[in-house]
Amino acid sequence: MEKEGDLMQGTLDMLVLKALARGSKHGYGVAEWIHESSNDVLRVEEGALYPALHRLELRGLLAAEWGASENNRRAKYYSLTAAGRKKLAEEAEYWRRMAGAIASVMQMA
Amino acid sequence: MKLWAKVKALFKRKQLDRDLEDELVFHLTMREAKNRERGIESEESHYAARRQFGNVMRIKEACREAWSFVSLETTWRDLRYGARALAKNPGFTVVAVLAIGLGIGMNTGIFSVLNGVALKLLPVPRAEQIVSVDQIFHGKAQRNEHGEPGLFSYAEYKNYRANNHVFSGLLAYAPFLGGVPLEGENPKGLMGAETSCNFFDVLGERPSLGRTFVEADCRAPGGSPVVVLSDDLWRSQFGAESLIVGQSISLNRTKFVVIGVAAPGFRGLDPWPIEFWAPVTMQKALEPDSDLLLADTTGWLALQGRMRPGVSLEEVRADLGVIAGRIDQLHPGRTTTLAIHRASEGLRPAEGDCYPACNRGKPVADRPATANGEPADCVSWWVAGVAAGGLVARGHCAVCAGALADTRGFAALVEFQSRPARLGVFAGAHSINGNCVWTGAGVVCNAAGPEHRH
Repeated sequence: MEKEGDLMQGTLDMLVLKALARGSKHGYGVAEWIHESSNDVLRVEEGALYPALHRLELRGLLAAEWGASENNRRAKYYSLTAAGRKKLAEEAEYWRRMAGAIASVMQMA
Repeated sequence: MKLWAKVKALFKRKQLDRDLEDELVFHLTMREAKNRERGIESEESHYAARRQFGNVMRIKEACREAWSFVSLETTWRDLRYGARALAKNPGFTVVAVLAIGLGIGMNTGIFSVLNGVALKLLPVPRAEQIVSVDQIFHGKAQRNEHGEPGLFSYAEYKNYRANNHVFSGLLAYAPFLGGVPLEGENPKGLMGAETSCNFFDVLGERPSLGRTFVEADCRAPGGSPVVVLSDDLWRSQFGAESLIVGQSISLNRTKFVVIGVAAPGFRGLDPWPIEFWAPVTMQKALEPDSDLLLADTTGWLALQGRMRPGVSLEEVRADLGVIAGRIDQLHPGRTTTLAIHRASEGLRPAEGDCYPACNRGKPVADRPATANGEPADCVSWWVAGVAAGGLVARGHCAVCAGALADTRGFAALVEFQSRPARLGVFAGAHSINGNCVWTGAGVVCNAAGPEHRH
């Protein structure tokens, strides 16, 4: 179902995991956090975000819980599981190496 | 875990859908609120949120997909739709089910028969080396047939045996020899086979008692009245007496010396169990009405050869083809082609069933009476089928199209194309049994006096 090596999807998954690294958030919170953390550069499409959240939940990387939101509405809160935390570390490491590699290629005169 | 979560999700579909709806609505509400904060009008902010969100249905679909076995669920929907359509048209359903059932049944049946008849190798050592040889004549052919058109004369057999380079041994035997009267204390009609004297050696069969034939037994016509008994006959008729070797038994008023007993389980090359084997040179003693050894235009011997190691079927065809061509030169206007196949085992009737017991080409009146009411004196129609099956197996017959039946009464239509059409199953029964006629109710066979119907 998930295509390995799909940079965009893989990147989104990594960003979602990262967004939840400091604690649980609902979907909207995840989208906002990514948007703000990237200095408004990255805007996560909701059409991609929610399927990604559900997929990660199904793979056991995220746990979901219904709770009350800051404005007292019923909202679904996602948090990292142990597997999710491990996955995030892996993804981050992979990303660091890829970014470094691409950067050094691009810096070649 | 993923699989289990999906399975659980299957049963909580509605709950999942509601949750998804809530989740997305919450998102929209949050976005709307934020838009309002930025000073966008209430109604406008709603639509703006919607616009930013994209197609809600698409998102829902994508999320559901994550939770579902898409293909499984579609398949299940298709099945239900199919079942509904079939239920609506019961007539069509019945016809379709019957047609498919019949088709599957026929295929299974034909395969069972072919598997039993044509695919199973002979139960002899290194059976894969044994091939059957049949001949087919084209053009002008003066030919008397004894039993079946593909058989060889004795002279032809000797020619192929002496001049081939592909066999470590080539044997001949006369199929369809039945109802040979065994005289003595317990008279009985026997199924026998006249064989070349290398018969057991080529097959690699050792006797359990005494010896089998040696070449000297086949040296002169009528010269060596010796016989090898089957294990079954030895036990049933002679009480498994080991002193039987060296004693004489009377077959069709000729004394034969028993020289050996075949190994248990060896029942010859015919589809029915053979009870004794005699040298081919004793043909006239067993069948006083005909002298086939010198009848050069009469085909009566079936040939099977054991290929030398490393020889292929193609090489056998080429080598024997040369010999056939040489024989054809003596018969202007005639060409012979050979059908060469790996020899296979025919269907065998179960114990206690009846076997074809009519002698080939024998007028009934001339036959001495054998034991009355022997089951061996009749032919149940499935045995005819079995016989035809045997013919198919041996390649003796061309297109054998007929109902072949096994012991469970199952019948299948078999069409086995190896030659120009020649024998059907009923014609097959007819050719095995010179005196048998097809009556529609069964094959009436006339070996021993009054007719026995089966």
